[in-house]
Amino acid sequence: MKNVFCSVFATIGVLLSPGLLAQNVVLEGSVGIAEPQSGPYESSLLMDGSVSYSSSGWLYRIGFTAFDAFKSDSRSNPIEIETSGVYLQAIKVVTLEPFDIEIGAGLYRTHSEAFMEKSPYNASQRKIGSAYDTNPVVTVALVKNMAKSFSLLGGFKYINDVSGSDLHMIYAGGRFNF
Amino acid sequence: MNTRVISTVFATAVLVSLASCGESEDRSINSTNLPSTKLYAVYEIYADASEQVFFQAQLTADKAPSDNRDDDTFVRLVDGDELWASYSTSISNASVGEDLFTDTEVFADNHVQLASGGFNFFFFSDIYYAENWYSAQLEYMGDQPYYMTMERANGNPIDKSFVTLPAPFTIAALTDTNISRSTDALIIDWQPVENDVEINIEILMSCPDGFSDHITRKLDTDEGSVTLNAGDLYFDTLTGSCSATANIIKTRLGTLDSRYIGGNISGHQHRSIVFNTSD
Repeated sequence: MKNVFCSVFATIGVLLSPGLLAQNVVLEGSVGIAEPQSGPYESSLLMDGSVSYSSSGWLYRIGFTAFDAFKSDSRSNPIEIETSGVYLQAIKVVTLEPFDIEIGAGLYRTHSEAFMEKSPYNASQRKIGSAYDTNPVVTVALVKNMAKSFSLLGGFKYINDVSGSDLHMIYAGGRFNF
Repeated sequence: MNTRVISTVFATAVLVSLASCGESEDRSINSTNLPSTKLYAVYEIYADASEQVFFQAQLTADKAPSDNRDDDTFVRLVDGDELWASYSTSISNASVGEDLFTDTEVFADNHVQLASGGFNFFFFSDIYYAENWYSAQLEYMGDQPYYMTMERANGNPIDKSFVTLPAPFTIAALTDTNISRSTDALIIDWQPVENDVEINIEILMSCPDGFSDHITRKLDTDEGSVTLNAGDLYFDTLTGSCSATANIIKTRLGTLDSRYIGGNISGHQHRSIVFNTSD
């Protein structure tokens, strides 16, 4: 996972280099809610950041998502699953004034860890499992240009089978275009 | 002889006598650095009609608890030493697959840490509730063995203590729910019958005037029935109409990890039936 993060940040560094900043580089940040399809887990908040390169109606994106823990508090000994991931996507931009519709697909590399509360009388946790996954991801987003270099966006993201569960996300955020 | 010397000797003799008089008291020590080979473990696992399984545990140092509890040293788990109850597999050998969102719930259903204190109402228990004990609870999962694991801070768990509970059983309805304590015999039947279990029976009777009493029986084998003869329920302190509860406990001994200095692990299945008694 460390190597993946190093690669991500190196790529971001290249994209933010002065030469490329003169080109079509997009910085994006968003927050949202993620809901697992399997198990008794509640939805959790997410934060997402990405860097994209825009060319000929396409975006080529690398990003990182951090999820707040997915919790099953209804149990006498609650379970939490902590997940984070990096992704690569290719996104087709379709302009339907006054919006852009972006449809993307790619791959998500996630790392998940599961923790169990030891007993109803002991809130300390025991790590009971961890997993790495690489899974397909699809996104649909609506983007509204607000100014020359700034846009607002909202969208839906689906990741298939993250450690045993599909994840559905809705998110909203902002984008800077260079 | 010098009076002062005599007085000093006498006073010293009195002090020494006082120090050695009276009962020794139980005491607790921390488990830190106490090797498992110095631990005596008592593990009890109970299931009943509620489909819950209750775990109790008590550890003493160096020897089995004495009958009158004199000079016993009870062990308090600290500094990373923990007791865990598990279904089917010791927690030290259990793992979750890569499907965390689906497999962790099964894992959490099968393992629980025992906490200090807790329930203290079990029949025929060897736990001494005046000193440190541990308890926990899981839902009844099935007929696989239950494990008691002591995890040590040194990373070497004591994980080979297990017992298979006696199977769930049903007490047949009594032909007469109003029994004369002095003139009626009482026959209690249950199914199924099971091998290698012993049966303990306790009948508690409680009267509106506040008087109560009980009788116990023990059967070395399970024949599916116990008979109390006419008059066995009679106590001259019990008068009039008194409620009664017959508790049937099947017990099977399990295998205790040989790394303990001694002890036992036992599984119990408890059922009860309520009826009325009269003079």
